[in-house]
Amino acid sequence: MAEVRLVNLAKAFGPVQVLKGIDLTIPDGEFVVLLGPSGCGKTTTLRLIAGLEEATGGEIFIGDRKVNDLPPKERDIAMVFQSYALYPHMTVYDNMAFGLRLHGVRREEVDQRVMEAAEMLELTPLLARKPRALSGGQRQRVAVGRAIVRNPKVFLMDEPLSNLDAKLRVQTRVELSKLHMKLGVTTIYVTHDQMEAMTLGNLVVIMNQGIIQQMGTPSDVYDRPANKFVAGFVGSPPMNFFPAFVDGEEELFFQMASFRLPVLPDHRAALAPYRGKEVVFGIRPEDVNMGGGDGAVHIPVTAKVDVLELLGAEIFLYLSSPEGTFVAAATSLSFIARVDPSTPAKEGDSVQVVFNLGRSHAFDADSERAIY
Amino acid sequence: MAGTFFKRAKGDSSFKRLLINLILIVACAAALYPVLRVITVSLRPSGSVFSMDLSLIPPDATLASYQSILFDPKVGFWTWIGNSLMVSVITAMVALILAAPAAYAFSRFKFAGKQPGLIFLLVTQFFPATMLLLPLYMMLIQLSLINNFWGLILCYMSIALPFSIWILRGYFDTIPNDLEEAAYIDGTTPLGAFFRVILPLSTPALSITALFSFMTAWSEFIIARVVLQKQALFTWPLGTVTLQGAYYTNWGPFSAAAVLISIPVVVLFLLTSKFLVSGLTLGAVKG
Repeated sequence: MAEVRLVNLAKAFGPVQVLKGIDLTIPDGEFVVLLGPSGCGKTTTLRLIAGLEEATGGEIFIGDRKVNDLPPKERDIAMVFQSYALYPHMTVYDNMAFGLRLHGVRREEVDQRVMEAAEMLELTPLLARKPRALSGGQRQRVAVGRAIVRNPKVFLMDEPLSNLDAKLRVQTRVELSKLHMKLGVTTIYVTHDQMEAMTLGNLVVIMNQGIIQQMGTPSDVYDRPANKFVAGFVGSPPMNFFPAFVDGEEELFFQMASFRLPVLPDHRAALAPYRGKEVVFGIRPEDVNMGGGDGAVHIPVTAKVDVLELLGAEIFLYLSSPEGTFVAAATSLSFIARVDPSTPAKEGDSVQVVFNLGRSHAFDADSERAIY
Repeated sequence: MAGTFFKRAKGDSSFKRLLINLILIVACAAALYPVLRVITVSLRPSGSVFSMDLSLIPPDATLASYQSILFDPKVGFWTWIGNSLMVSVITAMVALILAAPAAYAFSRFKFAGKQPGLIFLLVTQFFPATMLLLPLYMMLIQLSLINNFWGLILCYMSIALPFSIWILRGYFDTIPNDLEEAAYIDGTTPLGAFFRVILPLSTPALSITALFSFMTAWSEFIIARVVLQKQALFTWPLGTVTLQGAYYTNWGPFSAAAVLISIPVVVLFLLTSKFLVSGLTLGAVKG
């Protein structure tokens, strides 16, 4: 087990700067998920830690050792690949024992460690099989088994669940979580699936365009996004954003294209410098509620139901409010509400919704940083 | 493979199937007839080599020609076979040993001149061996490799290597990079990953490459004729020519030699046929 520390880590492929100086400390024993859209640099970060790519700048530390110039085999890491990368010509046993044998571990110990890992992952009956005779889920377990027998300081996992079907993915997610609790090895897990990130990680690192946007616990990144990108990326359906004009004297208001919402007293201080300026107002779909409101803080907004998606336990309403003229650049305000399935709304209906302003967000229109 | 063929044939109309079979029968007959005639001639007694009889096994069939080829010390059949085997096996082995790492480099690494290098290798295949005869001969004289097996092997390598590199590179391209990377993380060096992971996975491609290189050397005549002048060094294609006299050719032993010589190739072909069919199509169908 070890802490992993990245200092100003940079990587360029030719003229393309994929990582633009990342600073990240992953505490010993944590399960950290690197989350971001395709091309954000998360897999590159993992490959740099693994030693499969060479950094063009910065330093990588595993424990106290700087590993930039060490080959993968000397970094004491194990990696689970997206494709599993099991050796097709070896049996499950040999796949798991391969790394141990290369490190000169005695035969009895190899046997003992492979058997233990196989037992833990319920692979014992499959040990004599070749990978081609295994199902996707079994292959995935062998890939994990190959990583854990090595007893490495750090586990690296590159989207290990993306080739599994939805049901197996949920099941394996739970198993990985349990495995981490049991082994307590520092784990760095790359995914673009936010559900995996939020459920697996003790810490989530959100990346975009080669930069870390935010690092925090799953609830941190969900409830207190550092910027508009994080707010829009984490959560499904994504957060609703409205261009808004900060208006008023003593009491402040968000003036949207077609409606106006009060700024809560708690948020006034943060928004005061933005008086007379444009900001981005953000509200999550679950904080858009059906109803008339109280007329004071929870001001009702009239909107038309464009599309209704019934998901069983909840309904997504795709709403639009009529265009207004207050904000010059405003387009028609479309937003999503996540409501109770008993809500009596139909497509084409005109409904009244209220925003839970206590859980609203505001972002600087230029820098996109969170104002509150 | 046969399974797929018949499955596909089932869906076709009977006329189409008839036509396909007819073409196949004609093609097989055209390929087999000369071979069968050679076998027939090899079984005839020396007096009736020019007989007009068309039966496959002549009525007075005898193994005398085989006996004379195999056991007549003046013929030197075993020397030719030994020489041919040595040249062909070494050609195949050296071609594999050199082509596999070269192909791996072409498949995996980025280096200056990679693309031109590959195209250059391909271009060398456009020239028939006879065209290269004079320059090869002059080079071998300079290297004092005339009348030397290594000279001949060197010439064969120049034909077999580019082809082998192309075949192997195409195959290596189909092996995902992840496997080597997994091996690096498990503790191998790049060379270790090549030997422990890539080569064991490439048996089909290695087999056909070896077979092609072997056959290039096994049945080659013209270069051998130029490089080897001492009878003791003759490979079988040169050796069998010595059975032809200026005024008279002993066709019985000549045919017997031809039949015997084809046996190692047939055996090799049968041994590797499984790989040959899969190996040739692997590059095309594997993602």
